[in-house]
Amino acid sequence: MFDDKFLEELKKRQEEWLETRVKKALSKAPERKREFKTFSGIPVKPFYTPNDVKDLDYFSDIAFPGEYPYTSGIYPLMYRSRLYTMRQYTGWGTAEETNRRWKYLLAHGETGLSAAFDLPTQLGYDPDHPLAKGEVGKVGCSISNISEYELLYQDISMDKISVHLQVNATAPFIVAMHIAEADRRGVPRDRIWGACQNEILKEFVARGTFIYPVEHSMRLACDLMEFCVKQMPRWQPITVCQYHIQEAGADFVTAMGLSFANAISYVEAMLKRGLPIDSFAFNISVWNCVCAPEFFEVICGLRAARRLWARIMKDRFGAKNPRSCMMRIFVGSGGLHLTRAEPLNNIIRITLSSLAAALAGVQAQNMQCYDEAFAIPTEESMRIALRTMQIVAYESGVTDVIDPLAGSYFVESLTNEVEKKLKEIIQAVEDEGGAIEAIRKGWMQRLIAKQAYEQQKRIEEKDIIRIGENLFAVERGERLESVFKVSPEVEEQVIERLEKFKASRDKRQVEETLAKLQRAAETGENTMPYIIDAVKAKATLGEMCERLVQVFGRAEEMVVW
Amino acid sequence: MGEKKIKVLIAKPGLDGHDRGAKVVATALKEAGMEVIYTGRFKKPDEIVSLALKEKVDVIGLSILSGTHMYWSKEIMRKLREAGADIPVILGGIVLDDETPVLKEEIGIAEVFPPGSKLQDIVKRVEELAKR
Repeated sequence: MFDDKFLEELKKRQEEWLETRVKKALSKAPERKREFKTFSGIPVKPFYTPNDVKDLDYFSDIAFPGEYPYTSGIYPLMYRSRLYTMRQYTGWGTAEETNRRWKYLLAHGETGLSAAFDLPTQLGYDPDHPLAKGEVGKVGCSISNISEYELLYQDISMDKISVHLQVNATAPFIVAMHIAEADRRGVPRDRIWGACQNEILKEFVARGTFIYPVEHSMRLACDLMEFCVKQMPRWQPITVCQYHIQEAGADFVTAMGLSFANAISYVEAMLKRGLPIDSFAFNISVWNCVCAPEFFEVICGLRAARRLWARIMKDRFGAKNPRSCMMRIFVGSGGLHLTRAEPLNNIIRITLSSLAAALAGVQAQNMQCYDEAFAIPTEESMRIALRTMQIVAYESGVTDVIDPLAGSYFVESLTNEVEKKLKEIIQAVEDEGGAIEAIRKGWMQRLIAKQAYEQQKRIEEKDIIRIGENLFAVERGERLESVFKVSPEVEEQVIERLEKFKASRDKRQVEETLAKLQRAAETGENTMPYIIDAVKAKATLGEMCERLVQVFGRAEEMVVW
Repeated sequence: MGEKKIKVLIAKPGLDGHDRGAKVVATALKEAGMEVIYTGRFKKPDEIVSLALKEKVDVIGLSILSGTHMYWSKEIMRKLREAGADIPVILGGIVLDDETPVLKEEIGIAEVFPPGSKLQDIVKRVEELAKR
């Protein structure tokens, strides 16, 4: 983008500047840190010039919004026509309580839903299972059958408002309930709008809600993806997760690289089923990322990720449809940089996250709440998080210009650096035999655990700063006046309802549909139609999961640290 | 003969999958010269107690981030009492300020480490508890 003579002259003058001005300044006052680097360890220079981006090609490296490789954004007008979707991860207790909170948020201007399920629901245990004791309704809402799902969705449209079902190992069962409820209402399947997480590989490396051994888990995830791309064009049947890998300990760039390796495994598994790349690529190119703690690294990282994914889809997988190369991004602000000390300061941290996400051109945001380090959010803290996204969207003006930081020497240079690093990480995973093999060997888990420990040490050595916690810390942080507590009656209530539900069904029909599901699992047929039938026949989540455990067995955790 | 190594069991009861804290603390204790066993996820109180007895550990550390710490702490302390074991138990997780006195005075947890706790403080407290 610059001519050689100019670059030569620039280089000469910059060297002079370093030798004279900078040297003199350093002799008067040294720099604050021995080395300046991003959160992921990429060195940062004091100043950037055209020489740092001299090989950049405008058309092939940045391009117009809505054009390959989508560095600036996947749509031509981005937020000028439609703002990012604001969807808060919400759910606790019973289906009705969650439904009420959803409506509260929608009434305050939320534009999408994001469903949180409790751990028994995520791990396939009905609330009356001995292992569910104490966990029912705690970190999400309890959903064990279709009648609960009806309550969860009461008076909420399934085609006018999109939902993101944050569930993985049990995604096929929960999505089947979603489909069954849509069928009951007469919403055509090609109108159902939303997404599910269904990202089982990162459960093995980071988050821990896995049920079946990895190869069988992959098969179920792909059954769900294949079913949805064929019947539900407005459904994103997987969300590739950088988010949980970073929250488990990896730095931003490592987590993104590992998530790319996982994504490549899903694409390969779908191709192996004989599906052409352009038949599914758009629907499964959806990411969930952490947008924090560092402003520029995140913005550049998301730009780099968009560009690299487009290149991988085109060059490696031969995608022809431009839509196949569009990476859609849903970000959360993450919980790890939020502090327990002086919790109101978290509102400011979350504002920076939301601003960075807007500058990075993401499709949807979920901002954590300031009381994250205490409990699940109160109505008030949830509203403030929603208001934060709205203030950034409507008051700051950053949503009026697409990719406003494009062309900054620093931003473009860091974008290049991140892309380079991502390629290295993807290559390192391939050298281990690909994502699934790297997970089987514990390679990814070990890398994440190592980085988690290093990060904690960096915090304690004040290399990573947390104001109020490790710098300018007061003896004791402010306390919160009100902290959310889940009602202790939830468990009893949902168990009682489950008993009534079970008493109301035709047992023979339940058994028949479960037997058919088991056969499909054994023969390799797509399990989704059978899961939907079982859900409609009133089989419970626990019953369906257990049937598949009989076929696939349970995964043993590989304890690596 | 050198001093006997302190032996610690780090355990994750219940269905909570967040194991970052458990692994980071396990690594810190190991680096401080202790022998550390980490159970992995989804452990039942019985499994934790019998492993602690079998391995003759000096301290048990529980890591719980799903808001179920009151329930699991009670269960595990009860099982330990039933087994006649007097092993100090520490807890790391999202514990509320008003729960800490209940955990320590009523349930019998020796120490509570909420988010923001320092590794050196955890190491120090484990050393004290092991020498009791």
